Amino acid sequence: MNIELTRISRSFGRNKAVDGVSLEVGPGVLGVLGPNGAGKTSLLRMLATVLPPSSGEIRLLDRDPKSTAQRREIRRRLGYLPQNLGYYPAFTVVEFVEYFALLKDMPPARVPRAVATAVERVDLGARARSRLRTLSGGMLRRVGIAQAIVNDPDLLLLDEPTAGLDPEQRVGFRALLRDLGQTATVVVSTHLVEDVGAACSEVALMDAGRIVFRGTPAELVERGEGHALGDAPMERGYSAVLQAARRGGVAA
Amino acid sequence: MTAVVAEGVRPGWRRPAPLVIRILRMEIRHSTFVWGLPLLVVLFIYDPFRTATAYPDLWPLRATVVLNKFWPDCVPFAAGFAAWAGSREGRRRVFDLLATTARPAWTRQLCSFGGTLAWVLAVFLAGVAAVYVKTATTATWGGPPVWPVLVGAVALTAVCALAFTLGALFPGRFIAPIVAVGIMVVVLEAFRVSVTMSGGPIGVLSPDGGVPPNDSGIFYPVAPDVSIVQVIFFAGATLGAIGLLGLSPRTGGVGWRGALAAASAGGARLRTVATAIFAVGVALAGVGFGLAGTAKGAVISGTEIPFLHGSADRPIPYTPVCGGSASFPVCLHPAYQGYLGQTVKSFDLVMSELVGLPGAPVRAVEVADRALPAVVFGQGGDGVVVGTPPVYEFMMDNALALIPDPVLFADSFEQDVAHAVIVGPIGRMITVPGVGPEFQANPGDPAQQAVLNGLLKAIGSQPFPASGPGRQQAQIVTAAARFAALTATTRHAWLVANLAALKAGHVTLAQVP
Repeated sequence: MNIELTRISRSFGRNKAVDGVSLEVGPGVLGVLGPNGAGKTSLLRMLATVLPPSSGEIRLLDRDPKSTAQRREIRRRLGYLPQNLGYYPAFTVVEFVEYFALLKDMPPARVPRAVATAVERVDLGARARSRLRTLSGGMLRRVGIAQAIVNDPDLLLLDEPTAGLDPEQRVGFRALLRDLGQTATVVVSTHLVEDVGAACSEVALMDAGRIVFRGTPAELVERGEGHALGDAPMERGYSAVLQAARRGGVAA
Repeated sequence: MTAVVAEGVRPGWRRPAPLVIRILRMEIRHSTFVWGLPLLVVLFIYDPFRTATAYPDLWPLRATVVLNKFWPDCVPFAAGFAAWAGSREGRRRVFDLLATTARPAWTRQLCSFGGTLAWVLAVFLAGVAAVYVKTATTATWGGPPVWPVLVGAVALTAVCALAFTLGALFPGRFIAPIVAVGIMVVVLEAFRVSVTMSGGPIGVLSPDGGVPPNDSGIFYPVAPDVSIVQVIFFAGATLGAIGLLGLSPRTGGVGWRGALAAASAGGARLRTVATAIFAVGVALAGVGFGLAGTAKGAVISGTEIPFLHGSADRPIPYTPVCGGSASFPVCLHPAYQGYLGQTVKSFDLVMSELVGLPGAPVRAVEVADRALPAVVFGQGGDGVVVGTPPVYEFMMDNALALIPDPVLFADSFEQDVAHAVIVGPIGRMITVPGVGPEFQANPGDPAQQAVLNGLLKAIGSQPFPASGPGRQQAQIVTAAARFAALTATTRHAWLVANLAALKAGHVTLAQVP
């Protein structure tokens, strides 16, 4: 298992953002759905080793992130796209991706080829020498994805990766996700259920810091049968699970 | 892959540079310091370079602009842009993204710091090179002083390190101006206490301080005591700031309230190294501060640190360069060789009037400032006539200040020599209770004043102001005009016959021809 979470919680003051989540994830694409404030971003930040949990155990890529040496090894094999991508406007696309490749401790000899591949995979080859300040929001998002995948990660964490992408780019991105999920564990946090349906082999639904559903997209669709709220089958499943969870029971 | 990408990433036909070098190159390429470069260049040309070229072409004098002019010009730029670079991760909100990378935050922060520092030092050294190259083209003795350059570079490094760390700890768009202004205020205050000699160690540690005594670097070696202490202190400050950067929770990757031990990318080893660097830095700065506290004023070096002071006060051997006529040779230190012709010319007229008179100097020799009596400094003169046969011993420093006007330059020598021959000593130093030593002028009696001023007037030099009651002043001026109107031969003949009586005070104003 690339991700093993045992009853992890994370609090910010009195607010419990993640509440006793246990999860095991292997290779494939896991979509994490949930309403605003459900704890998706906090969960991803803990998986990204940015945020230590308040309690519980995390093992990533068979390593313990509490250990400095093991955390460093995890980070070498980790890709992360945060919800709000910060960037250096004066850097070019290639420089920005190269910067992260170097910081991820990639062997210097491999960096040029890896950067070129990552930039191509997000379809930014034609803008490789453009400064980031000249790019649109969607292009910046793709730059963020490029830096996340540049080290060919075994664990890829993407927080709202398709925000700002046009429909054509989203289709391309979903294909990229499926491709990456062949060998790596990809965790995608999103509001967009159609992304999950199209690209994810598994889906987890969070509400109030807990995972209230885990299964395949088809299983989520099944949960929505007969449910009135929602335009698409998966949206109906999403609403049904949330409604059931809020009535008191955890559906998973 | 497109051609653009292939070109952009340089396929590996040659061995790639080490990681840190590649990141450093990137940081140098993107350093915002270049934005401030045009203004700094204008400042440099307008202030330090113009000042240096206006100075006489003496290495020690020209080198003073490095620390007293150029260094303070660089400080706000270095501080502001370093703080801006330090705050970048916080301002650009890339902290989460960077925190997931394998390399310790300290590595990338030091690369970013290095990018700014490289520009700061390059600009500083380029400015110094411009001043030194210009000086090298005309200087006749000595070589470029290294200590001011070393002190300036180390102190600028400390400023950058401190500002960068402050920027990293308190990121925000206002941190750069706040740090730039704050550090500039500290530098100006340190300069003030340095110049007023009231600040103890702070004044000694200020690179932007008082000008060393004129003899330093020409007649006597420049004592490196203060420079050594400054380098120790600023090297310590640099290490302290860099260590603090490594210990900072922000750079460690957990935010203020996170547990550093749990999430710092560098872990225990990095913290140990950072702590050690911080401790060494603080200790070095403490040693520097402590040594600065032992400083004492010195005649030659300006300031001495007893613990470091060697036998640097032995004079530097030199062979004087001489010019002028056989009857009145003029000798200068070789550093002033460029002024020999002008100096010889300055004595020509006055010596044509005084030659052969009792007490008239037979030659003029430049000596170290410290070899002259305090009375010379008291009245702002250039030298004194001493010894048998009489020799006019003088310094060039006061006269050099008058260089832009060759007439004033000549006046200062003519007044000195004529006063010494006709009146005697220019004055004496007396101790005023509660005040200290003060200069008491000896303008001479009315007849002496009339003859002296008449002679100066005759050779076109600036006479001394007549002293005494108002009516007597007018009489002195009238008698001086009368004496000046005589032919040179008549004046000289009268002086030959009457100088002894005149100096003894036995000649009245009415007896002046």
